[in-house]
Amino acid sequence: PAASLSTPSSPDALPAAAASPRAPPARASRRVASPGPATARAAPMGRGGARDGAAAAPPWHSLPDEVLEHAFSFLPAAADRGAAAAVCHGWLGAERRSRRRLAVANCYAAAPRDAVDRFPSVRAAEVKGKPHFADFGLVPPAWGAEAAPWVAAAADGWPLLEELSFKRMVVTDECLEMIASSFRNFQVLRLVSCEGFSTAGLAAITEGCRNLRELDLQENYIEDCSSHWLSYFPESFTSLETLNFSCLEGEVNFAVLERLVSRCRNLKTLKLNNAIPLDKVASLLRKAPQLVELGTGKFSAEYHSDLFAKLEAAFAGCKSLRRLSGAWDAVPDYLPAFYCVCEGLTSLNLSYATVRGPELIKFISRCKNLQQLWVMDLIEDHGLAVVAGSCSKLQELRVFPSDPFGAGQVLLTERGLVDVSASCPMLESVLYFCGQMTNEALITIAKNRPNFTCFRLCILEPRTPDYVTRESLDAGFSAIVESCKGLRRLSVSGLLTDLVFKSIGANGNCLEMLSIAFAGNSDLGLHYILSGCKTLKKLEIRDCPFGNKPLLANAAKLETMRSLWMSSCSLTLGACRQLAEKMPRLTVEIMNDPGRTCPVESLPDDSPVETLYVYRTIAGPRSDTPDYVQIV
Amino acid sequence: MEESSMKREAMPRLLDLIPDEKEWSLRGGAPRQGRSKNTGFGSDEDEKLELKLGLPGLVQEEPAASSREKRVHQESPALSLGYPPKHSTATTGAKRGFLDTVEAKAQGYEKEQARAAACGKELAVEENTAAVGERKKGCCPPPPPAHAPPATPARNIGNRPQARGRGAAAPVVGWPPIRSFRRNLASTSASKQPPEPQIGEADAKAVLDCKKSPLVKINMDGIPIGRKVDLAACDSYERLSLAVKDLFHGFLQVQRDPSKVERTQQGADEKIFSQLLDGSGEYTLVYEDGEGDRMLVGDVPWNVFVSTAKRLRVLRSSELSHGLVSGSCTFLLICADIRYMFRLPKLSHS
Repeated sequence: PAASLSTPSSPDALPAAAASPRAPPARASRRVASPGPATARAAPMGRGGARDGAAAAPPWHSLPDEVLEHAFSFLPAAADRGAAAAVCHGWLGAERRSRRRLAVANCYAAAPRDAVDRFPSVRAAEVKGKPHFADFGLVPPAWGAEAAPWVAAAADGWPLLEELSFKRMVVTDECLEMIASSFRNFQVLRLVSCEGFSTAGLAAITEGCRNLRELDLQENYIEDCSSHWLSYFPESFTSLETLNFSCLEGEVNFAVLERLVSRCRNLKTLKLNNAIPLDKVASLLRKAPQLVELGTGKFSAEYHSDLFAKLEAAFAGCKSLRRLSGAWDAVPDYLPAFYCVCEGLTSLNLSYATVRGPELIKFISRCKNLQQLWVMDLIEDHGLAVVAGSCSKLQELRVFPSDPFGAGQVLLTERGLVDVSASCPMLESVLYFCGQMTNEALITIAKNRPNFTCFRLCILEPRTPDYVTRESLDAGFSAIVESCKGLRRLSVSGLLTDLVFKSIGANGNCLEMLSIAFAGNSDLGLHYILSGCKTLKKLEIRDCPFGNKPLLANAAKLETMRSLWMSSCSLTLGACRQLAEKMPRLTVEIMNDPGRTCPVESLPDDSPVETLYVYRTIAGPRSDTPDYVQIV
Repeated sequence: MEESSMKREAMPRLLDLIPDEKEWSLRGGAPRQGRSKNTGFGSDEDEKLELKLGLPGLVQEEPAASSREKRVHQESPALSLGYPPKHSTATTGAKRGFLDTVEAKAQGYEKEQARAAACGKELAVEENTAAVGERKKGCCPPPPPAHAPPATPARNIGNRPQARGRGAAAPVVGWPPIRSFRRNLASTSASKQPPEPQIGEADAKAVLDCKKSPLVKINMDGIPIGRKVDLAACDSYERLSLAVKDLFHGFLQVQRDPSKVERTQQGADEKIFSQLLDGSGEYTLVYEDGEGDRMLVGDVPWNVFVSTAKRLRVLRSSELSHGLVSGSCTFLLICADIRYMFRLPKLSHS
């Protein structure tokens, strides 16, 4: 675990610790800290305790567990808790017994049983499954990442579990049924990019979880069994605070929904799906004016002035609305109905909205307090220029392509990003899809915004050079990493050589996640990355000419990372075997042509490897691999 | 790969100086030898053909100076013309080979293929599957291989994206990196063009919309977890049988006595699943139609079956007589597609 520590949140945590106030004067490092719970520190404490000897009264190592656990309750960040647990066995035990939130970033990094045994008091768990590139179809079906083992282990060992969150995993109806029946105080279910379940499973949840507060379904593939899952909420059920079913394809019973919304007075987040027509949205809003977040679903209808008036009135009543989203095939004429909430909006997600033109821009420009904006590239450069001028508090911008395979008829260029970077001083996170870029623009952006923490640029056509100079974009991306010292996430695109990776390796000192596609020209590129980038956790590469040598040369680095994905590179089986042999705590997974039936053992060393997925694990190789995945 | 690159270093070619494999054979002439030697692609014909098929994202060869990149720009980056070095017919083929897989899991990863009407990539699939099948260093045969990817019913061979010219983006698997929920929107809304092929995306949103690609639940006796199979990804009863086998054989192994040798298990499973359709094995495949009637799989023509089947079950043959609406004839010989012609008169329902 990293030794980085955030400052303890409350200095007065420990009454018992305060009773033994004396820190030996020689330990200047301790005195620098906030007074009181120096227990919130890492290694020096442990050593100090032992050496303290004559000076302090009760030595640190004899503090009762309850005291330690109480101290640790002020360390919400998992990294800090991990650091505390590494101090000594006493602290290890106290920390793990008191851990309430567990985030498992790779479901195969540890066995579910082991996780449950190690942290018996967990109330909230989050588990992530498939690699990120699964979002883009690079992982075939049935790869794994089943949630069932985790649900089963949790049902056994965490009966008091309240929150469960799965991302990119296969969640079956049976899992949902088990969740509904195993945890009597279950409150929060969040499923992101999952699959494998249907509305029947949802019905089990709505029926069985009497204390449900949040049901948050984000971009899942849900089979519609028309099982009226919404109706299974009992009439006495009023605890709902978040309901997000925007990814659901089918109809919901509107009357049931309306009654549910009416009686759940604490409802803060409501995100509808496309099946709810516009006038119904208005009625719902009138029932729930306390909403903070609204997803409008399919916001489109012929323009009727009375419907407009209805909407306008409904929105006028929503004084607390801060976040707005929806799959808007929005008729621009309806946008003014939102004007009354614009001032209060901090987050606007129009990334599914195909509306364009001056009404869109006028609408966004009224949102002066916007912090997060997700739009389609239909906003175009001049729209972004207006955004730059109006939304000075913008922190996150995402611009998605409306026509990714088309012939580029949208007028979104690097200009838009330059404008926003120039005028939005708090901008720190960008995801930008565009058709062209120049080094000059990137250099300007880097100079304008050294505070980027996340910079993801996707030039739609692979290997596109600077369209003015026809050079590679090395200079531009190098400027970004050199300028943005706090950059944690980077995605590069366009024409790039090994030089950019040299720069990234040397300057990416905070970089945790790096995505590379169609870039580089030799093994050196990968070597620069793996030998630099000290804090790198996730590296995903596709279609780059990186071969075996840098992988083997930097094998030890892979254990410091969460995972490495390399697809369509120049790897061979022999290197993967060597890697697996050298690094027993890594799982080296190979994905190849599903049609091939011969086991990987029989293949020669020089067989090419199409996809490599390597991750560190304490659980050993997984046993649920499909045919096309082989563990070396 | 190692040896090939070493070989090439000994004989630097113009091609080798070029960082991106795009520019080779279009320029004609010398460069090709370097690659040909390694890849075994002898003829221009093959390369040109490969060109059009635009296998993208191929392996870069070894070092290139930055000055060479200037030459890159003269190529249209859009074409992403890939020409597989010796092994990557298999490697890229693997990617395309995913398109081949009959193993249709719930989210219909392959369904993209089914809707990928006009994509040269399909040809690339065919090329590569042939290459993979043969695993030769030699020429990659241009014509489609013996087993066409089942999930590409609408192969439009004449309409390769590269042929459309420089403006059009060559569709690459999983590129640009946007989630399938967004791809759907992009293609159905503001775009004037017909929906672009969205290869390799698990796109159940479209799946659920698209009646042509039904996902049907399938349960097997003795296995608690149900699966889903995409009927459109199979184009015949035989493939369906294979798909069913893929879905369930793992479960059977788990349930069997772990002390038995795995090999024998596989053999046994093969046997079980190969007789799904003819009723003579341990298990039989049945389906339920819209009215809930249970019927043996294999009676009706394949496309009729696809449109009527709502649910599938793999029953123990011994229990068939209880399961069928019509009641009798448990060991009726129902054919797989190839044997369809020879089917015996059936005694059951319709």
